[in-house]
Amino acid sequence: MAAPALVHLTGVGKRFGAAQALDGVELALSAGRVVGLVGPNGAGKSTVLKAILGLVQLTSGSVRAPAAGAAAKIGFVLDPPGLDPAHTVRRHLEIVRLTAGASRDQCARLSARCGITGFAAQRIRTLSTGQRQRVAITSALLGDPQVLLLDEPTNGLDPDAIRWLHSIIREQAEKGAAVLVSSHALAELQQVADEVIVLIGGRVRFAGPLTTLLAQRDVETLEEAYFGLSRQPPDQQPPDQQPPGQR
Amino acid sequence: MTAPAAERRSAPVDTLRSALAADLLRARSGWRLPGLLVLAVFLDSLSIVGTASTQLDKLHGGALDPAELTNSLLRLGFGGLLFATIFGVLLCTTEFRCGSIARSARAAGGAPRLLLVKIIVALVSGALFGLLAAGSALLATGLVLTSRHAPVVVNGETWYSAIGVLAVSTLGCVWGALLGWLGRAQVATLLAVITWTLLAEPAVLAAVPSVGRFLPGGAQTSIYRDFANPHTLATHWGYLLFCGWLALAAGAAVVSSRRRDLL
Repeated sequence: MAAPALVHLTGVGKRFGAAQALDGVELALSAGRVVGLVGPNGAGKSTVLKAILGLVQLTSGSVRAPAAGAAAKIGFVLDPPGLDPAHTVRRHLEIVRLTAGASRDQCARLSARCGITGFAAQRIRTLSTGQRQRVAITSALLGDPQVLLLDEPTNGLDPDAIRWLHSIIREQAEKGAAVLVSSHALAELQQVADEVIVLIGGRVRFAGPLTTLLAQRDVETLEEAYFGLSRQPPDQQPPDQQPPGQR
Repeated sequence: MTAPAAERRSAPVDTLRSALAADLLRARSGWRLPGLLVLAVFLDSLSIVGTASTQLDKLHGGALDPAELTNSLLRLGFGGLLFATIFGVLLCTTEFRCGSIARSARAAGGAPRLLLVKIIVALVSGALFGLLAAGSALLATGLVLTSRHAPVVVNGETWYSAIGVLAVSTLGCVWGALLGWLGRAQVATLLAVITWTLLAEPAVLAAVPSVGRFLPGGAQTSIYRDFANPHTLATHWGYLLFCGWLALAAGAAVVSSRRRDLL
């Protein structure tokens, strides 16, 4: 039996003035699956994440996702990552902990797991980009979210930290979370994603298992598949538009 | 399966409570609150000391009533209002600037509920500004007058003025939070608030007092009972008018939170 979809976007459209950021986007995020969201700059990837979080007013369509509330049912890292530079890391996490309904113990364990204990007393403005990203990821994980949304999570991370992040992502999926990772780092994404959504010009050009995409394009890497797909006119696309988690 | 009725009822309350706890912690973190409080107290006290030195000659010459001098010095505590308003602006714009508004809105259960949280936090913070402004103004007035061998005369008007100073800062912080919510851009909103409060509004009050008294600043003048200007409204009308301005801004903020993208 297919895992239940925790997030479902149906015909989601979003306009910013004259620009159509999203156009009839259909997607589903299922428990235990890692979905990679790829597309060029301006494709609407960040807008998809914001739509799931209810941060943007949709022009059309609907979003079904865990409701907003004290328990952090959705953990997320957006750009900007939501870190007040005037706060210390410890204070920031305390604020997030209160909103996420997480215990102090969990916060301490997670801080250690994410390697931020060493600079917990520092103000966020003094941290490096990679350290800030670690803090943002820790914040997203507080409260054991059912859904994890990560927008360019490897930004500023060194190779060791990227490997650490991949292990975190897989761990969350194994615990039953639905994970959506938006990234331009296609080689990295290929290592963790079970499914891929290719978004171009606000439209879903492919949505399905990574293995299906590679087989369809007869290539070995996500990068090759992405470039092939992004250079192909939309009317030559295979009619495979079914959202992941539905197949 | 549906949640028990009691659980369904308590969930939004718990959500609001934890969002409120987080926002109160956020408000008192960093330099902003202590920095602005210290600045407000320092500048208010400086203004009281400076004004006292120019007024004492009049008092000693018999041209000024001691009770009126005490009360007019105390009313200079209204200066805390600007800092309370700035703090209110920062409460909202900082979150928009760094993007934490997304997490806060999710935690509160949506943007309109976060707005409610911000208003409550602004009321609490504003009360702190008001208490310190009124308290330090009382203290500074007492100290400066006794050190210059002038009588400190406390009467009913003194307490009404102190309450006015407290109220004007408390409500001023809410006013700032609402303006911050509407403006979002930190620097632009701060510049607009400071320019309006220090330059534009006093200019209108001076040039067209019959109109200016209905502006937020005119209403605030009535609240802290500065009746030197004959156009100043009665205190109760000042409260009512300023609450009207707050209601207008809150209404605009609610509409904004329902129509505009949060991030």
